[in-house]
Parts: sequence; C-alpha cells; structure tokens
Amino acid sequence: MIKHFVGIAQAYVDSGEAVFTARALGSCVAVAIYSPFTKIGGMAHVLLPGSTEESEMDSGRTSSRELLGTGGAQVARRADGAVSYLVQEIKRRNRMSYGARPFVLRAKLAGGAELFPRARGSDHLPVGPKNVRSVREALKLQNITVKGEDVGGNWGRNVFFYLDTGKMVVRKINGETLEI
Amino acid sequence: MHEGQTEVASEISFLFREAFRDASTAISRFTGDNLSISVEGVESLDIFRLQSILSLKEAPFVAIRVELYADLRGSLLLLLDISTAERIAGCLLNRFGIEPGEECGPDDISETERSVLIETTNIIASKVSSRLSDYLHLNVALTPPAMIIDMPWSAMQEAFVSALEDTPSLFLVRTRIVSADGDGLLLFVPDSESYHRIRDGLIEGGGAVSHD
Repeated sequence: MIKHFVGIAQAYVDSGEAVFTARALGSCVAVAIYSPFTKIGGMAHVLLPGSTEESEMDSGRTSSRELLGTGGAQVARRADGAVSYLVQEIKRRNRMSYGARPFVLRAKLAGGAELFPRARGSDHLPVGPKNVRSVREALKLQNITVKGEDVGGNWGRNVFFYLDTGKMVVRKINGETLEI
Repeated sequence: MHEGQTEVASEISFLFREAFRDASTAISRFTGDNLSISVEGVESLDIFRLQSILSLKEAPFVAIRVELYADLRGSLLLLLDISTAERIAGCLLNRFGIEPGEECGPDDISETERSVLIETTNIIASKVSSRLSDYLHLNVALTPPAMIIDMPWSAMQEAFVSALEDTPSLFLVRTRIVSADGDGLLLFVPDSESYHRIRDGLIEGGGAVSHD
C-alpha cells in the first residue's frame, strides 16, 4: 500500500490501494477526487480560496505555469488550481490505462474550519468557509458530484482518504472519528 | 531565504529578545518572580518549513492569537502545550491565592486559567508591539487576544493564512518559560506590506535598532 502525505498546497494522484493523508487541517480543505470504477484518484490540500491564475497573474509576481508544476509542489495552493490539477492528472492516467473509455469522477472533502471566534460585528467571511465555497464551485465547474463532506466547525482535523474504497476518514481533535 | 531576510531576521531577533525581557519583567512583577520567560532563538522561515515543525504535533495546544493593525498589519500567535499552559496559569494564580478553577480533563483548562493565559499573552503582545513601534516609528495597535485549544498547525493556518498569501517570511520565536519548566512558541506573521516596512525600518533605515 502506497501512502502519500499531502502537505499544504500539495496534491498527489495514484491508483489502486493508495492512502492519502492530510494532517492538522484547520482552515485548509482536503479534497479527494476519484473514479470509483478505475480506482484512479488523488487528494489535494488547499490553502487558499479562489484562482491561482488570477491572483498570481494580477500581482505580476509569477506566471500560473510556474506554480502549476507536476507532482506535489504547490499545485494546490488555491482551490481551482487544486481541482484542475487532480482532474487533469486523473484523466491522463485514465487515458493511459483505459484509452477513451468514459468514466465518472466523485469527490469528498473535509476541513474549512473557523477555529478562532469571529471579531464582534465582523461581516468578513473567514478563510475556512471561503475555501469550502471555492472548492465546491471548482468541483461544480468540472461537473463532479460531491459524495460526502465534513466541513466547517471550529476544530482541527486529520484526514485519511482510501482510494480503493473511496472512503474518507476524518479524525477530530476531540478524538471523534467520522467516515464519509 | 530571500535576499535581505537573514539580515531582517537578525535585527528582529534582537527586537524580540528585548520585548520578551520587558514582558518577563512585567510578568515577574505581577507574579512576585514566580515566572520568567526567555528567548531561546528566533528563526525566519517560510510556511513549508513551519509545516514540517508543527504538522506532526497532534496533541492539543493552547493557541492565543492577537492581530496587529494600524501602520503594521499581521498576527501574533502564542502556542503552548497544555501542561505548560496550566503551569503558567498556576504560577500566576498561586501568587494571589486563587484556585486554578474547576477540574478539567487532561486536554482542557479552566475558565480562570484561560483568563490568566489571555492576560499573559496580552502583556507579551503589548511589549512586542511597543518595541516594534518604538524602533520603527510606526503606530501599532492590537486586538484583544482570542484563545483556542487545538492542533498547533490547524490554529496556525487560520491565524495567518491571509498574511501568508504574499508574505516572504514569518518569524518563529522559541521561548523558555523558566519557572513553568516548559517551552512556548510565538509566531509573528506580518503581511507583505508590513514585512517590507519592517525590513526598511531595520536595515535601510540605517540601523534603527541599537544593540548596545
């Protein structure tokens, strides 16, 4: 069994019995996308909401191509980049293994907490809920159905995604474990 | 490390040591020399290095966050393991003959202890902001501290994520809480504009910090 530790802003794709782990998620979101039939899938650890391309290009600091490298490094800094990377990589592997045979993708997500109490009178949406919203929007754009999620709240989470079964196990700071 | 970061880290290290000396003096006065805090080291690092330090700590920590606003924007986050936090609170409460509070589980602390820890963080944050303000000639204001108990890396993400979006570096202050026989971590993450103001004030401003 191959185990992938998915660090902040990273994403990995694999096949078969791979297990993906994201530790101590707070406002970050772990999004797993997988094909339940071909058992190809992966998980990303999203740091920020919104679009990598827009924010990086707007600031003029770097091109999106520089950030969207291959494999783990920083491909999942923002929600849309994370989802795009996972989808493209899963499709590429599907083509290699199964040719043009059609397949469906499913998603599960966890995280997006709001750990610190919001300042009194603040109408500013914290980054956790923003991350969740951005991931959902990015999945919708790709026509991917969300099959399960454990998001929000005010606690940290450890997340484990088992590709062969499509199960996501969420372990919370209070010891509670949830399977989605 | 980016150009100039080492120099900034060195200068700000001095500044933090001074701030903690001020805080320790204030807290000692408050506790009758029952508690003192020293700085073991100050590092300038990026979020990925910090992840490697914090993400494997899965036991709950006390995390107390103070935000900076006005001329400098960013956050300060104090991280203490539960037993160290309880000992700090105990030192302070014993001084005044106050019971630490109702019995709590091993991963929780009482409301009384919580109040004392928030006040301690308030003292530290105000000394840090005073030093920053004095040396850089900038106005620095603080929000009231907010406290949670959770995994340190989880707490870190929310406290700093907006600043981390474009900040080249953050600062990790390793502290030793002498009388409580424990260690604490203080993280300081200025936003990008503030980072550059600090850098300019410390380096390009001609050495505003005196090491005498």
